[in-house]
Amino acid sequence: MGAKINTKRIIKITDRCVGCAVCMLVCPFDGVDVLGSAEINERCNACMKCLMYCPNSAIEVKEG
Amino acid sequence: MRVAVIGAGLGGLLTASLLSESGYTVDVYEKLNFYGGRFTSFEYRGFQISTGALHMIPHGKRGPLGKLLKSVGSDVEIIDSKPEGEILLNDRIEVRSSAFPLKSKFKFFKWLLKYRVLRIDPYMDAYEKELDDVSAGFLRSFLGWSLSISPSQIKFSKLLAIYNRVVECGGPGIPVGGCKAVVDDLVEIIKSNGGSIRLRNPVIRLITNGNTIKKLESQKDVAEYDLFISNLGHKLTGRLAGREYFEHNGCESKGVKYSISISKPFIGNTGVLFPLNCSRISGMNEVTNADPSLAPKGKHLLMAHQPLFTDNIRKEIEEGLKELRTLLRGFDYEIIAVQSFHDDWPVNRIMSGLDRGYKTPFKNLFVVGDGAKGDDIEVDGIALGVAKLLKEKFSEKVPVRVP
Ligand SMILES: Cc1cc2nc3c(=O)[nH]c(=O)nc-3n(C[C@H](O)[C@H](O)[C@H](O)COP(=O)(O)OP(=O)(O)OC[C@H]3O[C@@H](n4cnc5c(N)ncnc54)[C@H](O)[C@@H]3O)c2cc1C
Ligand code: SF4
Ligand code: SF4
Repeated sequence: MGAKINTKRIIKITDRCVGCAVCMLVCPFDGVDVLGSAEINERCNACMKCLMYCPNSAIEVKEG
Repeated sequence: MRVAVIGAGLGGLLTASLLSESGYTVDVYEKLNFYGGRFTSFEYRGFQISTGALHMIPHGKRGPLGKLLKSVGSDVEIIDSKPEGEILLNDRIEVRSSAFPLKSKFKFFKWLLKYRVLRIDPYMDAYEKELDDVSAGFLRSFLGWSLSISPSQIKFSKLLAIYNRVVECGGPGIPVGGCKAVVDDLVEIIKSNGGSIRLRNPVIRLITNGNTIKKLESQKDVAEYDLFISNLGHKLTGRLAGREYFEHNGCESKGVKYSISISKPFIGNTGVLFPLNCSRISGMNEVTNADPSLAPKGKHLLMAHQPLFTDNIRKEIEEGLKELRTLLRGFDYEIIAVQSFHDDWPVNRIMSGLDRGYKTPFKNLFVVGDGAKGDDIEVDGIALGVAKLLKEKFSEKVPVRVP
């Protein structure tokens, strides 16, 4: 459970996001919702898979 | 001869496969963890949801892409749509000459004459007003569906070029296995000819000497090649080479795509449905009527496309969803993905008619893909651009008429 609370702080969607939903399609945890732009939800496990697929480099890992 | 291809989108992979078949050694560099760019799909809840394209090839197996795929030895099966399209007004009318009033057909010939004789070539919104409601509505829907543009964004001569291609090559088709089957095949061909696909290895810089590109610097290494093919459009290609020879701002075409799971078919055939009563949704297709494996058993994959003419994407999506609710009243359906496309992941990098061809200021650097299309629709325009490059610069025989 602890990990889940942490992840919300770790994965960040920046304003480069165009809402193409590739991150949603590849996420193994159903951890992102997309409607115009992506939003990380509480199911995100911070596995970082989506980072390697986002065509716009719009997903970042939050510092700290 | 060693060739570097920058970007593993459809344009890059198609060029790479054709060159590798002709004996060139080809390395394809790709920034992302997957190939295919906006022309592939991922399985999502049992559906093949594409990264862009609506699993449709504008001219099916008879168009430039269909022909090049065949010539390169791909055995992807393309099912040509039948009917090619239908207009949804109160009833459904098949898109064919008899669907449009004689008066509007005469108008078209009048414009054709004015263009041929006097070179009068306005944007289509000037002419749209002269048409009856069905013809004008179809013009809007067709342009929105196939090019994500409105009549005010295309000149008569460009529309004529597309019309002529449709007459020559016919309407759309659906590849069995979706867009992914096409790019999977191309990658297999490239690899079987000794080429490589380097995923997660973006090109950072092209090292030049005067008007020649000497080397390519990627995230992982620096390598020398004789020829460089970029799949990134002219703007980004210029940046990589340190010479911004082409700036275009705001001329990409933008859109939203809805993927819908539906229990009973809504369209029921392999063609495109143009709902003329909608102001947002320009067209729909139901690809599972050609290939049921694109959805889980017992479900269909219905897709709708909406061109974007404003920057308020959230609002546009709300309006699009409203129209879909009206269209699908009484059906058991669920919207499983809403995807939007603009900036560096647009529907088209350059709006139709504004393409500037494959040439760059560098003598061994060429651009392919949807920033350098020929005068044809979407991926068939990409294939036509590739055919032109291969014919003119590589003296290859291509099975496609290059205008
Ligand atoms: C919603 C939508 C619906 C569409 N529907 C259809 C349709 O039904 N039929 C049709 O024919 N067309 C359709 N299209 C258009 C079609 O999808 C595109 O025209 C086509 O996929 C573009 O291919 P491309 O090769 O030009 O570019 P891309 O697919 O964008 O490929 C470029 C590749 O280059 C990579 N790259 C970027 N930078 C670098 C770098 N520095 N180094 C290495 N690699 C890099 C990218 O990651 C990408 O993989 C649609 C598009 C959209 C968005
Ligand atoms: S893949 Fe990137 S651009 Fe696309 S919706 Fe996700 S975060 Fe946004
Ligand atoms: S980090 Fe992993 S779990 Fe979180 S949204 Fe991305 S792919 Fe999904």
